[in-house]
Amino acid sequence: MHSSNPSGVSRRTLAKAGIFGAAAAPLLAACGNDGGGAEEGDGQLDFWWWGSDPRHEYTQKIVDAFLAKNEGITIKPSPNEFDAYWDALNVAVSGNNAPDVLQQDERYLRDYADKNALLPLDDLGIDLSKIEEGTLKTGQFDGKTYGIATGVNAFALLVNPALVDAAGVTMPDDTTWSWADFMQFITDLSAQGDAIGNSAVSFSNESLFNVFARQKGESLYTEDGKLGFTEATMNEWWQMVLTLRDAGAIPEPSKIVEAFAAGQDQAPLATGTGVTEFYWTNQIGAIQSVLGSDLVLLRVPGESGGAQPGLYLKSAMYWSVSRTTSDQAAAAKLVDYLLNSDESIDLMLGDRGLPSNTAQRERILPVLPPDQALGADYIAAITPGLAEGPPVPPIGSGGAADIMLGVFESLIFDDTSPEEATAAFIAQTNAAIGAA
Amino acid sequence: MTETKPAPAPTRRSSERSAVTGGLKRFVFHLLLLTAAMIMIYPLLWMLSASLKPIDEIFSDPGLIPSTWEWGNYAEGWTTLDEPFQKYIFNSLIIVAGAIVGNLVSCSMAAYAFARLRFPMRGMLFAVMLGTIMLPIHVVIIPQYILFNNLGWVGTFWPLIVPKLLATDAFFVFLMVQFIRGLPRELDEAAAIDGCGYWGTYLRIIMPLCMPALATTAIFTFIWTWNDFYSQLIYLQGADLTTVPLALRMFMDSTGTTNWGALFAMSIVALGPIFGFFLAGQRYLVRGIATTGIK
Repeated sequence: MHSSNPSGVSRRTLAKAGIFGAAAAPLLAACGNDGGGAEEGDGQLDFWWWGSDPRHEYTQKIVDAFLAKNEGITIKPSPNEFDAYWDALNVAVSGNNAPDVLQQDERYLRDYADKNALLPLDDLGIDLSKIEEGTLKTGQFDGKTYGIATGVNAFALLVNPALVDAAGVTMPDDTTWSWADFMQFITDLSAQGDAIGNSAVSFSNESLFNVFARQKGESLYTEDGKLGFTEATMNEWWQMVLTLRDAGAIPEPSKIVEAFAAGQDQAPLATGTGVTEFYWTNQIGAIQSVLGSDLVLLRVPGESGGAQPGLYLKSAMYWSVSRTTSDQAAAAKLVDYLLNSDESIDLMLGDRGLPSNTAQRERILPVLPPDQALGADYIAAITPGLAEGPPVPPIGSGGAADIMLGVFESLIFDDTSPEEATAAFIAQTNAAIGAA
Repeated sequence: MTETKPAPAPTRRSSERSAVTGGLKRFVFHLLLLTAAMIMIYPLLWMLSASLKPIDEIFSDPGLIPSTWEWGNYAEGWTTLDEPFQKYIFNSLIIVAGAIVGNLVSCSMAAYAFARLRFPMRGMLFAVMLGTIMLPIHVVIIPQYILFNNLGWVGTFWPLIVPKLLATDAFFVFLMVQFIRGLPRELDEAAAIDGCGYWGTYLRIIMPLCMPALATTAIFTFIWTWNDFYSQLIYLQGADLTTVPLALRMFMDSTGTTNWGALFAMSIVALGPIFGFFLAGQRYLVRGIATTGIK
């Protein structure tokens, strides 16, 4: 009759052995693979960046121009959307398949550098002479450069002048105004006009809070990776939000949360239902194109009259090279081309921030599209008075944005008081950056 | 099955009355069900209406009926990415076809072995297989990625299809094991008497009876593979093999403007194959259940 497979053991054992063997071989090969950096590169570059369609198009053109000038190098470009970019990059780096040239962001730069994923760029022959010392510093720590800023942004208060006139309020003097003046300004706008003075979403942005803290001589993070502000400062920040909410100057909490979820092009300022909003200077173009009319830039309040001006030039994003690149020389050439060449900057203009190469910045000033020119003038105006830039954010700072948003939401719904919100933010961020 | 029978004391009036109230009850019941269905399907209806609205109206106008019918969203969404959208649908279909075939073949074979055959360490292996269901993907993704990278498969479809040929979807193995366990062993024995070996029993007796389980496997594999964003992102990054979920993601950009109209239009288009497949596969589910081998 039927018995179990008489020769079962040997067949199954063979099958098992076969599977285990096939699985083990690649793993052993992985053990032996200790990363590239070969002297003789293979001229093959993987080039990753994030952005939206317009950026993908012009970057592709830059790549084509580079390839035309550099035979012997091939590039595999790979654009992505911002959030998906970090997921894919994370796995690729962990799986020893990192792209050669990549975009980096200040929230994750230190993370990747500390994981030994990035190549120091100081000795690769990239021309850094025209880049300001302060801007270069934003990509340096431990004495090495891990990312070179593509361009700079600064925070500004974008104002819709038509709506200000419609509300019958005078435009304030932004070189001397304080936060109290600002609160009065948007309270008046909300009271006397149809549009809301400010959507308050930016109060959940830890970079704007950094400006506020710096005005008091403090800072969001310190050089050695800890939080650098006092609880009193953050309590004051949250109290401002509550004062504005109770005065009706900002929308109801549920509307604030909706606006945040809907994204930038549905924000009140862009749709004409809000008068002012804090944004980075490189976001002006997108907003103006949705709104369809011109905006005016004002400095962040409280710049004068504090311990120091709080604004700083933030590097919009960085170019980095991965440590396991298969061709260091070619990668360096590409980064140099992206930063310094006329063709590249002519196509890029201000999309990745105002070019960090100051000579290029001046060269393109006359041909910038109007919205980028607006940002460029603003940056030129504030640069002379700026204090020293903030230190590179510590590892784990990538989560601070979500923490701040969560704390902000519980505050505006009155689930927590300002002191509790401050304590929660400090506790959670300390845990995230490992400074608890 | 929900027929109302006339009352057992059949005076004409009471039987008419109960037939009327029975009909009324049914009507109300159906009305309630329809309302509940409408509520549950509301997000889909919203997405459909949003795909037909101009972009600035999508979030500002909460009604379901667009004020202007913007068919252009579909045309725009179809062409605005690097390639016309049918290329992405085609890529997705390749992966899905491979995954379905792989799952149907390998999971049924593994299930048959677990349910019907005796071999050493069977219990332990079954437990290990169930354990793999509990592993979150983030635990396995890095070793998996390293493995495929060393095989040179990153940037191709293979990492998404080959695992399906090796019965790695423990969920479906378990589903079929339970189903096969419900089939009477007398059938196996009858087949054995007629000279069927393992393969014969598997192919001729068990598989035809497993139609509902196979249909369920196929449907779920289709849906999960069609919607699988993360694995496709990891393995297809940097290759010219974008699939539907990746393409839909490209419409969004949290650092810039999002083309909501085109995104919703293409989402509706992406729903089409799933819906069609489900409709087609449903028939087998029901037919299989209605004609089990149990007599």
